Amino acid sequence: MIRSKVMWTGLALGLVACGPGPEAEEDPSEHACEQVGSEGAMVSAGADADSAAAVGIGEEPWTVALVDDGEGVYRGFVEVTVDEEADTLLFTTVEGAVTGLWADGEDVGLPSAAPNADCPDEIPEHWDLELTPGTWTLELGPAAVDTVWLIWLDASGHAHDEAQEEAL
Amino acid sequence: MRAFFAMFLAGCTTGPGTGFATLAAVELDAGFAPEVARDLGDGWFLVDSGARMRLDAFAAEVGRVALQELEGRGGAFDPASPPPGYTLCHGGHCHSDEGRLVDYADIEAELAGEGARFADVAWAAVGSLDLLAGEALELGRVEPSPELPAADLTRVALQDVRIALAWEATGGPLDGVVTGSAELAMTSLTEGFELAVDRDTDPRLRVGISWTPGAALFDDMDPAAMDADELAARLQERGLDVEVR
Repeated sequence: MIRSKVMWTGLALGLVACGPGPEAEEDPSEHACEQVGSEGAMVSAGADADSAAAVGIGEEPWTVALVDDGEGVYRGFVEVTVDEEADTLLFTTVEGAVTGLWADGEDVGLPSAAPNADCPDEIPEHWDLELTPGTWTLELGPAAVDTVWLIWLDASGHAHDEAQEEAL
Repeated sequence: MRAFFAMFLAGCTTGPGTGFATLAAVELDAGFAPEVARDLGDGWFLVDSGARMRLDAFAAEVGRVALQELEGRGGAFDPASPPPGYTLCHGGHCHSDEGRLVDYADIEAELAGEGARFADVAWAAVGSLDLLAGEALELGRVEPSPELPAADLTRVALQDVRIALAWEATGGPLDGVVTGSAELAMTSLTEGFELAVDRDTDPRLRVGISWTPGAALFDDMDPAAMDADELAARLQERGLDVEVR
């Protein structure tokens, strides 16, 4: 009788321990695709890096209004400030608009872009950006369009999580 | 009765001239396509300096397009755990430490070492392409046969590519109008993809390939003196879009 109780108790404890793991986060690429129809927050880009408009890394997109240089060409700067290292994903629906990346005032160059595999027609460009603490500035343009849609997301859930897979 | 049954079975096996799938056609779309943000209309486009450019010629001669398999495999890797020199693998590409996007197929070839090579499994002749006018070709004659053998196809290659470019540019940091031209020769222009040809493959396939370089091809370059090797490297990095239908 006691042995049975121990057995069933052990089994119950085992079931609890082996229960469902942490809820899987939505893949950022999929989330970005879902947000394409939303304007999100509107912001006016700064005319230069020193006056860059603040945007954020988060779930919502941004529609950035660029500055007309007077000759029908549009440009602008936006920035984010991060307090700790972060792996992020930047998506845009406007191919060719994001042209530069600066870290604390230093031109670090953009890595190569690729379409969002989940919706390549809607989001033709995205970048994997590993950010260190500091201020990161995006250069937009020169462009033939006056607004740029973008969304900047934390990369959690984007790559395979080996630890999570081993726990399943 | 036994002889009849044996003959029936023999007839059901894959004999000479039959493959696991038929490659009905290779469709090639090629054209210069300025990005939405760069397109000024009337053939003019922006480069990152703010200069405006227009191409007077963008012509290519392509020997053939080939579907390739990596022979001497042993370079397979787990995209969740990229090899040294690469990070953030997804969608068929990994990011190199130099900021380039590299196909899985090319990384596998690198890991497999000297014994590995890409072999052509099926190919079709191409010819002249006018990328300014744009081309949409259906290459129906597949060699050595449209009947594909069992294979793990991992790369598409445009082979023996010769390109002639001519342009004019003005505005931005330029004084007046600048004209220029360049001729490029590329052994191959490749793109990784995955198609396992086996008994589970759709019996009839069409492979669509898009070659659509854009304005970014000319970013951060002097319109008066563009380096042909740099242009070729950028064309390779932009690559192709491949779709199996």
